[in-house]
Amino acid sequence: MSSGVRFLKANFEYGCHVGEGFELPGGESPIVIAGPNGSGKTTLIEALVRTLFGFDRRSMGDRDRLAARAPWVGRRCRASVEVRGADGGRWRVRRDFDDGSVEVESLDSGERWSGDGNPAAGNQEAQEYRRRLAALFGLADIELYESTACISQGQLLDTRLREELLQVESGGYGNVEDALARVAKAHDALTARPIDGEGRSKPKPRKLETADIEIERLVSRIKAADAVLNWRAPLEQELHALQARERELDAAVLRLETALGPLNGRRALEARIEAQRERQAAIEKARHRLERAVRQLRAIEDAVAIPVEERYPPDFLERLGRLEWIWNRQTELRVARDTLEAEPRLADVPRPWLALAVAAAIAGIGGIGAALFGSAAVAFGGVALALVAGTALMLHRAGRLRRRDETLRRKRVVYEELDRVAEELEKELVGIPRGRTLSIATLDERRRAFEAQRQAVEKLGAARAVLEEELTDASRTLPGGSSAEEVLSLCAEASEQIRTDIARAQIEMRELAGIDLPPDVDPTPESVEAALAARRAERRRLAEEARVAETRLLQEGTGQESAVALRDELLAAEEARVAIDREARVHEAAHALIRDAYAEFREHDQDRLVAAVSRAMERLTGGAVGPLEAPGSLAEAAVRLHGRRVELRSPPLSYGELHAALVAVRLGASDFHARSGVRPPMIVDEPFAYLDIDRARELWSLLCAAARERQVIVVTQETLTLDALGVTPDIRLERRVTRAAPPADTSPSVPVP
Amino acid sequence: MLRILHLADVHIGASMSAFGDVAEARRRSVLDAFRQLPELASRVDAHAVLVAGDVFDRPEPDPESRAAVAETFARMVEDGRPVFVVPGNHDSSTLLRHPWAEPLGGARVFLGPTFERQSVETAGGPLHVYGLAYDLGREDAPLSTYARADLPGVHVVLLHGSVDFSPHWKIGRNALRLPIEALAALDCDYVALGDYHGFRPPERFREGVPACYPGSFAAVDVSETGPRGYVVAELEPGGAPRVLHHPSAVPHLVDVGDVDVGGAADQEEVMRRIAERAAPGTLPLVRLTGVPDFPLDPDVIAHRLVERFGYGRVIDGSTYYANARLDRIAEEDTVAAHVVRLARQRIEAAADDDKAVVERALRIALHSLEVT
Repeated sequence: MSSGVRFLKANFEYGCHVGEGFELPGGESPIVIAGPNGSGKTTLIEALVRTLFGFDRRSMGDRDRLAARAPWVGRRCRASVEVRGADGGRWRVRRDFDDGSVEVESLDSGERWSGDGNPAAGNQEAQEYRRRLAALFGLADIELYESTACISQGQLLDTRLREELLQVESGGYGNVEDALARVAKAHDALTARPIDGEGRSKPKPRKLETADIEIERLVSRIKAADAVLNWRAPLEQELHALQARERELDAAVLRLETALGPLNGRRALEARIEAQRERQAAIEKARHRLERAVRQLRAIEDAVAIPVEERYPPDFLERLGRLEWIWNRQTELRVARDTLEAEPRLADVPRPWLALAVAAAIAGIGGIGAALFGSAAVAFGGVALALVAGTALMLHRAGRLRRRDETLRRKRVVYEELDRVAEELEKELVGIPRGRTLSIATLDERRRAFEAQRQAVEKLGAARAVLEEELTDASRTLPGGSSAEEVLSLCAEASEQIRTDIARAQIEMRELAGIDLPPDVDPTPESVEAALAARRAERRRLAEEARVAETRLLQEGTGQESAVALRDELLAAEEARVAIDREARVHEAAHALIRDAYAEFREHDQDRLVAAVSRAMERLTGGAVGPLEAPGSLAEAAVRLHGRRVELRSPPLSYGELHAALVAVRLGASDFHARSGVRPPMIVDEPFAYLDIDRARELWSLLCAAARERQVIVVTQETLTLDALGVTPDIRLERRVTRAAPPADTSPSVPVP
Repeated sequence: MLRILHLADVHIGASMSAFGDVAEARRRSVLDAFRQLPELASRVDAHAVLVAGDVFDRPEPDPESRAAVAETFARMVEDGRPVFVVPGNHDSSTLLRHPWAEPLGGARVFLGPTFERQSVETAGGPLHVYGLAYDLGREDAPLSTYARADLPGVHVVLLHGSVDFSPHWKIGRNALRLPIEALAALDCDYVALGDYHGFRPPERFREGVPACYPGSFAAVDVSETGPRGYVVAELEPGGAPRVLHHPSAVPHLVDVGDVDVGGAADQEEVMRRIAERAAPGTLPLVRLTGVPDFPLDPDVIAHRLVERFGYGRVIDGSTYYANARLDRIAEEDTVAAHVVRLARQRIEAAADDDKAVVERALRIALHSLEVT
């Protein structure tokens, strides 16, 4: 089975081939399409080629030709060609010649692509189609195809050995291009960097770049995880320092609290001793004062020891006042008595008769006078005078009587008063020492005595009051005693007890000696309390700081990812990255190998082409023409003819020799092309023209040889030559005499062999 | 006699990226094998189960993994086998979010930074387990906090940390370092360790240290060849522990060693040579050597190993460029010939590290050129 690209089927609405379908046979022999002139052979070949390559609408020639290929029946000009592509897959290419659109469909996978198939268009669709066509067919340019493997009718003589043949060959080494493409594709899957180290990297990351990104991400995550540890370290140190300080403070607090008990005990003992001492002092003081009061009282009592009968009553002075009054009253009364006693007695009071006598005397004098003067008035005057005198005398006597009565009454009152005063005096003198001797004369002396006695009593009272007060005070200090003796006894007992207690407390204090305290703390409860308060405050502050530090440690110093796990992942990622990079380098090296090897190889392309053509000439002309020689450029190529080096034209070559030489050039180029992996079908239109039967046979042999490597399609009207060669056409076309309507179905109008 | 099942470093949820395309299957396999622990514990008649850290590979395992672990623990606890766990450095409880924040299947998890004791009465007698979750920030010398209780029974210390021979000894501040002298000072009957992925029985510790690393439950990277699993330790108060290693159900990696591909007609023959050395159910690691007579593609061999064994890692040390067939190709007038000649020149000129690159490039180039 020949390899390379093959036309398999075709259906046309193209020119004379309207609704016609053709199936091209397989096998390793040339496919022969035979038919007389006007049977549509060239149109069929053209339809096959143009279905793939299309028409350049900017070319007037192409436009004219396309216009000529419009179906005779007025249908749209279109065609469908099934091809076995360079990849071995079956593809169908449909072209609508009217709008230039194409559809490429994989008959294996169903993949379908459609777009602009205009060969001259520069849009992306047209470019994509040409790329697909090159991959499918090996060539995307109809000119290059028609200058090599596709030999159109009458084009053979235009065959030239041109540099373009090498360019065609360059593009034709599909296996190299494919190899490079495969390597590049594999490399492209691995990395975005250019495979040849030149140009720009692809924007989209591939495995290597993805691995780099992943590694970078992992490194970043590890850094973050490590950073957490780094952040954690100072936090840990800070926390450790805080915790250490907390422990120190706890120990210090414990030490101080431990010391505080004994210190408080000592303080209590000291207070107890002090209190006892104070109590003892108070007791002693009370005792001393009590004793002093007792002594004083006793001294005073001794000093004022007055017999009872000599003791003045306390109201002596008041009594003296009253006695003085009494004595004065007595004196007054006695004077009054004496005075009264001295008054005349009652007998001394004139008698009533005297008055009468006086009155009668006066009346008589008056009567005498009246009589003397003889007057009555005098008589009456004398009588009146006598009456007045008698009345006066009577009144005088009455007055004297009243006075005597008064005096008597007063005497009686005075005596009574004297008696009463005497009683009062007696009464006042009761209780007064030597009261009988008390008198005005002794009054001062007795008053001084009383004063002395009163003062002594007052002193005694004061001493007693002092004693009482001291006793009261002492009772407050030491209750339980009701007398000074009892209190003093209690004081003695209490004092002794206090001394014992103090001694005991002092012993306990000695036992509390040796309290462990920090050097900066005085061994006093106040100092310890202050130090405790300070340390507790610092402890609370540290606890808060530690809490904050722990929170920060949790929030800032606690990672979310395990650095160890990430590092393992990084190692794996780096290993994978190394493997990918190595694989990418391998593919880069492979690409360079193929590229460089191909470049080396291509340096000998011209030699190979010349050799291939020479071999074709040798086979075709039996050595009469050839070999081809091209020491310089291909344009200067010449052939050996009968030992001479002649140009590849006629003359000096005969027409037949030139024909054979040009066919040889085409076949040589075909051989040359056959080195590539993609071998487009070779199409030869009328290859036997102008060849005798021997040369036609040789040519046929060459075509058969070529057909073993690629599809060869021969189109000819030389049925006699075919008969002579023993070749039966695979497709036989009949002359088209009329423009008949196409059949309804699309089955081939010509039976497929 | 008290029998405990001791395991560590299960690394559930590990990426297993070294296993390439079969990483997910490997992860699943590890989880499935872990789920079989209750049956394994029953089979060996374990009285208790000790898990010495790194049950999870990540501090935030996926819910399915966490649920599976919880269920597995719960089943063992329900079977009367108390489960004791210390967090590892992969699933450390010092992280903000970790899998131990919530109860996990009734397992007794040690989360304190200093030693705590948990005592249980088992069918094998009283068991006292002392464990801690290492947290440098809270306790930088946790071993000093160990104090053996004056109680009858077996006293076991459960730790996830690195003895000085283990890789984490110098890595990471969150790895608990275990000086051997400190381990020797622990007055206990058994020190159940985790972190080091190799099996290290008490006999390989300094004399008198009843410690044991069970190794990883299953290989998490290709360096962990050989059987991986757990240990069953038989303990008696005051006696030396007797430890037996059991492989887990996770297929283990086998270093097949060098396989000479010289004279092999094709990949199939190379595969046959490898298969002769790798038992079914294992994961082979192969180094190809020799001069193949065909363009040996190690990727194809690796792919075939995956098809056959579930996993395969191939290190290609063969020297294809030197074979006679390439000599013949080099004599042709083809692109391939130029490729061969050029490759040979470059291999000769390349530094040692690059020779393998060019060698493999040659194979790829010829393969791309469809030279078979």
